[in-house]
Amino acid sequence: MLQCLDGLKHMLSVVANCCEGDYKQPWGLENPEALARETVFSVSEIEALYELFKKISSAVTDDGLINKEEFQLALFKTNKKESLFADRVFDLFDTKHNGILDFEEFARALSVFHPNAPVDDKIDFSFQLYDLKQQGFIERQEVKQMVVATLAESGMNLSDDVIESIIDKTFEEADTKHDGKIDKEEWRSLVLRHPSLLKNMTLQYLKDITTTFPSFVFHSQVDDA
Amino acid sequence: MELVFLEERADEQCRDEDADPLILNAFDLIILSQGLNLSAMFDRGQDSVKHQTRFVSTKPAKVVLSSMEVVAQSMGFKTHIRNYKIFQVAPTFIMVDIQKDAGDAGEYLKIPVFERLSMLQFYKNFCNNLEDIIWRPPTESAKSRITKTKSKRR
Repeated sequence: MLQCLDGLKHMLSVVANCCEGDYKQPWGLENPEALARETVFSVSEIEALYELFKKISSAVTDDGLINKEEFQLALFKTNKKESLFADRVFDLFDTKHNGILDFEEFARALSVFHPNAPVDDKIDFSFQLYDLKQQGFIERQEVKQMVVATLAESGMNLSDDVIESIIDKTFEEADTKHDGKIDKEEWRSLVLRHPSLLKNMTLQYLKDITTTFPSFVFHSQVDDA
Repeated sequence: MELVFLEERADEQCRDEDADPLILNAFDLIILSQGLNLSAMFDRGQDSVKHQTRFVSTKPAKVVLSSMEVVAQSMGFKTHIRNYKIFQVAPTFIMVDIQKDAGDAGEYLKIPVFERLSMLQFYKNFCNNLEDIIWRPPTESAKSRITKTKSKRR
């Protein structure tokens, strides 16, 4: 019954939008209210986010979708840069697992990075980010891989035993169950002790997005709740 | 982003360390990665320059800090080093990470273009002047470079 009502409501809103005078809905943004309800964004923030999405998704092919190359371009200003981390981020955004990001995936993922998003969501996202093999825990080998990748990025060359000792110290502190892995609980308590470990999970820019990316979409009912 | 290294001077031995280097957690290091910094997506294509300098030193943290201050002052710049972090990488190595990033783009854009260019020059010279305290492994080349990511005006 509820599903039926929702479907009806959706259909009505689509019809209503279609009939709004000469104005045509932007491609891919059929129901910003629904997205706004399911994320921390307001409707106007969703619309502004869509402007950003359009910019990024049209960089290589103007198909209303962000592919890996366009994602890399947005992050690094070059599509030549391979990055373990950018790949992980892209994969986490790509909840439909089809190798491309549509606006819905883009908005839902970025919602986690909003300053007002619940910290638990940020903790979850970052845990999944570092859980390279997606086994539900972060292994020593995965941590090492990430440390090496980060050092390589800056051309930094630390010897293997220095790297091992960094990881030793990390596990000493994080692996409270002493099983050689960091599970979600251990990650959460580590991060609550060291909040700076979550700093890349918040994008202050998202708060000002309506001024950064003004959109000219007009809605008959803008609900900024 | 380039890492700069230099030879250690054997005679330097400072005991007093006011600055307490952070014990490096692997994740502290990992989040410095550019691939995890999504704020780059918001770069609106205006001239924005991201400066990042990272180097390793075998000097005590206090020495590194005061050297950085002295050099910056002697170059006539007081406030251009906004954020820096010192990590204890190994018993005798510390890593210094200096960031003046596009994160405060709003502030940055208020700085007149001439001064922005001089900041670029500052970072180039800064590392040259810190030659004494920056550690270089034997195989690394002598040149120190700072990589900046610069976005073009659209």
